[in-house]
Amino acid sequence: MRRIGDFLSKKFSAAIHCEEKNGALFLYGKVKSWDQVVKIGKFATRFGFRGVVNKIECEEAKPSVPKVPLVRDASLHGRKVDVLIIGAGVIGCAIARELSRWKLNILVVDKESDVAMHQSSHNAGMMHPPIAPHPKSKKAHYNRKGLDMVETLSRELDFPFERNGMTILFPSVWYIFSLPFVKVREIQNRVKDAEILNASKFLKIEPNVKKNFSWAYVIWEAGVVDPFQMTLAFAENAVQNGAEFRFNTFVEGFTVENDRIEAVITNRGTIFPKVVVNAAGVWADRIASLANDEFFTIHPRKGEMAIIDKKKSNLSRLTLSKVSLKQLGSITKGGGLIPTVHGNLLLGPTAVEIPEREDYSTTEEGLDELFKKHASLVEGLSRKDVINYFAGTRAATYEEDFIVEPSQKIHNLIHAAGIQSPGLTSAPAIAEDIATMCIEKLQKERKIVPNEKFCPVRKKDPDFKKLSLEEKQRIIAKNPNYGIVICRCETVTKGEVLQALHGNVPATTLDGIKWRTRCGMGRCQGGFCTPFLVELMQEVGIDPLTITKKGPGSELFVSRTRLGGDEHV
Amino acid sequence: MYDVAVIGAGPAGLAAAISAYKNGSSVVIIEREPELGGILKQCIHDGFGILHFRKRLTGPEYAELFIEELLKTDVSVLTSTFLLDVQKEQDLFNLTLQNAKGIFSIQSKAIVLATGCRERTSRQIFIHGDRPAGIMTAGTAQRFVNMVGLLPFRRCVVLGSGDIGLIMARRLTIEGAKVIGVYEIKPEPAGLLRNVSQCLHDFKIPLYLSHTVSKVFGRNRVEKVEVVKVDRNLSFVPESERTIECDGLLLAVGLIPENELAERLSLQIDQVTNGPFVDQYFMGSMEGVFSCGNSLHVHDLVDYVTWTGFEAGRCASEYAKDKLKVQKRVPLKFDSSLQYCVPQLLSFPLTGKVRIYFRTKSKLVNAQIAVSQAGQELVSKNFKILRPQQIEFIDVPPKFENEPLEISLKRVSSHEQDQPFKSLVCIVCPKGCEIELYGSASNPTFEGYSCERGLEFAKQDIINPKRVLCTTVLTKDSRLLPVRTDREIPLESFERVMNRVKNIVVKKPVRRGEVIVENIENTNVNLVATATLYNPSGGRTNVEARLER
Repeated sequence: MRRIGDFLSKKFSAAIHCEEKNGALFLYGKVKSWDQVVKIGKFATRFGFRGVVNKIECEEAKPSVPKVPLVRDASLHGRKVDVLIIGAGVIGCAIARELSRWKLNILVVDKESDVAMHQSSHNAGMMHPPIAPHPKSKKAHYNRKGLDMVETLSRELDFPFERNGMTILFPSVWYIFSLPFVKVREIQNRVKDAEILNASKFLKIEPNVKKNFSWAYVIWEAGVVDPFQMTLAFAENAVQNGAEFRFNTFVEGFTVENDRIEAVITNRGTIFPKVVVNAAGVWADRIASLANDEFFTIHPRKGEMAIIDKKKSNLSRLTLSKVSLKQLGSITKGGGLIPTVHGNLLLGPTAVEIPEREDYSTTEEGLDELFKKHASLVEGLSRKDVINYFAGTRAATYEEDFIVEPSQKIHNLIHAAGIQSPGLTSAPAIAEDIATMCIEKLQKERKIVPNEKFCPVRKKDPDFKKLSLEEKQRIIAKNPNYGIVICRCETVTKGEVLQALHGNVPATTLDGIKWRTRCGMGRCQGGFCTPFLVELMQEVGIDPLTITKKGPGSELFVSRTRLGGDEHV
Repeated sequence: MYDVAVIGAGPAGLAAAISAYKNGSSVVIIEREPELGGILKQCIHDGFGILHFRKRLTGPEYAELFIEELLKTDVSVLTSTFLLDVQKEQDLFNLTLQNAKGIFSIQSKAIVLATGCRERTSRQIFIHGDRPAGIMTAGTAQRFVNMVGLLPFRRCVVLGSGDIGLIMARRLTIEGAKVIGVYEIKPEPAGLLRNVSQCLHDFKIPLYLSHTVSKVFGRNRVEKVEVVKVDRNLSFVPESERTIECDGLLLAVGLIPENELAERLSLQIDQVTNGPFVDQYFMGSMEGVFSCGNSLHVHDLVDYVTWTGFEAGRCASEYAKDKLKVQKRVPLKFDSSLQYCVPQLLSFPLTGKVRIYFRTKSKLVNAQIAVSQAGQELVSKNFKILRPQQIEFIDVPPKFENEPLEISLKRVSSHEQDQPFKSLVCIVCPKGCEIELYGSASNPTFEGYSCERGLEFAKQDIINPKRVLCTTVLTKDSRLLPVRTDREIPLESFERVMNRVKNIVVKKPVRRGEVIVENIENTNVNLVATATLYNPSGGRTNVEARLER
């Protein structure tokens, strides 16, 4: 230990000391910049421990703290459940759905007011082909398996998925030397439907791509989903099959006895679960630490993205990226031009190490980089076409691989942590394994039987947008709300908004409605429809002063202008 | 099957429908909201109709005059109806519509686009930082405050000095919110000078020119914003950043014509106005498609919107009658002193006078604008002052077939005039002269008045400013009724009168102009309704109520 500490101290000219705990390498000390913290953490992975726990502080940033819900009550106090899932991102929701195949008491808690409030909605929605991950990694394994599952799931659960294909463009013929490497990886990771096209062939497929490349590596099995819809679909199907979701619920601590979690302390009371699943995204290491099982650290990596007006959707239907010399050998495409399932194009994401885990702020530099790097892939894209931009943070560990395993120390804790790209693609496969681990643990105590009422199919009823004209007519005749258009940019009807407000996992915020219906996602960015939504929420009995953008604390209004009085006219 | 279909029932659409009907056509007007009037419904402040009615009306009053006129006609009115698609098939337009009754189509010979404009968003001006609640465009905030009765901020910063931003700064102040300042990236205010005076100066709201908001902070709601100075090239001045604690950011950073329909019909769009290219008949590059109001180009005064609506409606009707013949179209030429002019095209054969609306690129003092054709000057017009914020027009009788019109700045006085420190609209008579005050408040000089009474008014305004108070009162069903004082009251009495206003609940139907409170707070002025309330508890729309009677 001493030697590692001295080595790191010398290499990074800082006082670093180390210790081994829980099979992991713990790093302590203080350095100047966040970049250094990350560098040292990454470097420390080469010493062969099962994880790096990076406790090094830095002068330029305070330690990141989670944004906590403002509510405090006892509504969950004393609840006994079979499985408690912490985190309602795509991983937590997919696990809940997988577990709902069994006759179990399942509770999912999330500190936010809705599903997919962090990484799961703040990403590009790509269904990655397994070309980037190292063949021996868990990423490669789950990526392959997950991509194979997604098409069936999209049909069962009714979320938009499109196999649009992905292309890596190679700037010059010299890059042909990387070809054997690409081919070996393709075979090792069992990538399907890949081909190499020369420039003229490729331009026949995508004529708007700029002609400054020499060949293209196309993987046709790649696709895109709406990541929020995918997460919501898992959650709603889980609820349909008996699982329960509680939002604005924050895990404050655990009571651990004899290496077992006995109780989970939250802001809504103490919960008594038999098994706990850690799917807490960027805060997964915090949960592990609270349970006395710290062996990894999340270092958030921010990605900024820009959304392009639908008017420019014709520029490419394939996901595009160009490889640079720097990336050669790692086969990460480093972001690109990604069509969405809704017909927009998306630029990004960038990748920047940041100290703050919930920092979704956007920057001028980020947007500049996106335009420099990706907008130049096609002809005729300018900053005027941007309708929105946003950021997400990837929940990366220093090992840069998924952690999908039962805790080695705490008997009833299972980790689904460090899930970054290609986490969305891998989610269904990860969920299957985690569910199996849960059942194995529970089965030690009693026999677990299948949920005979389990229904794998979740359908929007009606799915107004997908209907034919005649069917739409029929629906409007039955329910006139589907005739009233609320959002002019995306043509969303009152009926669809009411559906979102009354779903299995109902929208409780404006962003919740937006993510579910696309109301406010168009070019006016909610300028016209927000007043209609507020009116509608009032109609269904919601006090407008309690309407929030994204949960308690983000109220839209501060007061009413008229409270009424006693001068009646 | 209709002769003319008008899309949108704001001021432009209402005028277009009325004039097409009066010209003898069968007309349908399509509105996506439940009520007619468009954005005017939420513009409860006064100042509308100075040119058209020679009166200072509020938005709801202005709208109701046209709605009443429209509802006397046989024009078919479709409210809460959304236009899904429009296609031209042979010589007819096929419009696919959707409302609570279903999806259906109608046909018309001509269509008039009167879809108004939308607000530029925070994303379009590339504001960075966090994305909390509390960022709202001025028009959206206006609707919430004036129609729903919800206040979005307690302490806010306004970015952009467009007219709605200025008007909302005043409105929020009257409703008890604190407006910390208005920040404008350009070296000149974007809105009309009289709005700067009446909305900011009257309420002591500071205006910071050559400043912008660079960043927003706040996880849940806006907690603070960073403002920064900009130089001539609009680049940030280093180390000029300042953070301001506030709970909201109001955006008034520009309006863009709503031209989705025009684009779907593949109309040619003017990259300067963002509206379609039109000729003197307001007809776009596709025959039978007409455009008017703010969907054509963003106007400063509603009166111009109405006028373009009248003309577009009349011409659409003529087209439907097959009386509008265009053989050739030639673009107008204008010199570099102008930003743009509308119409952009002149169609031949000529049929009469042409009104050309234009905006200049910069402030011009004592300017003469001339229009010539084939080297011959047809007309010239003198303007005491031309500002980029203001639209002006010139009427031209074109003389020669197939020759372009050329608009040029003929003369401009060399000296750059001082900036007035105050701008007033005289209220002594309906003429409504704009009086500008130069120098300082202690020693002002007055310009722009046309009579002694006007000068007296302006002098009085420095000592004891009086204004009309426009606000809302609650009704039984917790909707809001727009009201105003029927004459000016001292500015200093606003707060007292507002406290009284907040206590009022209207429980009976009232007509526009009806007195709600006589001699309110001993001001010798009455509080009157500026819209008709048909049923204070039914929540029925003005259209339905009218059609029932």
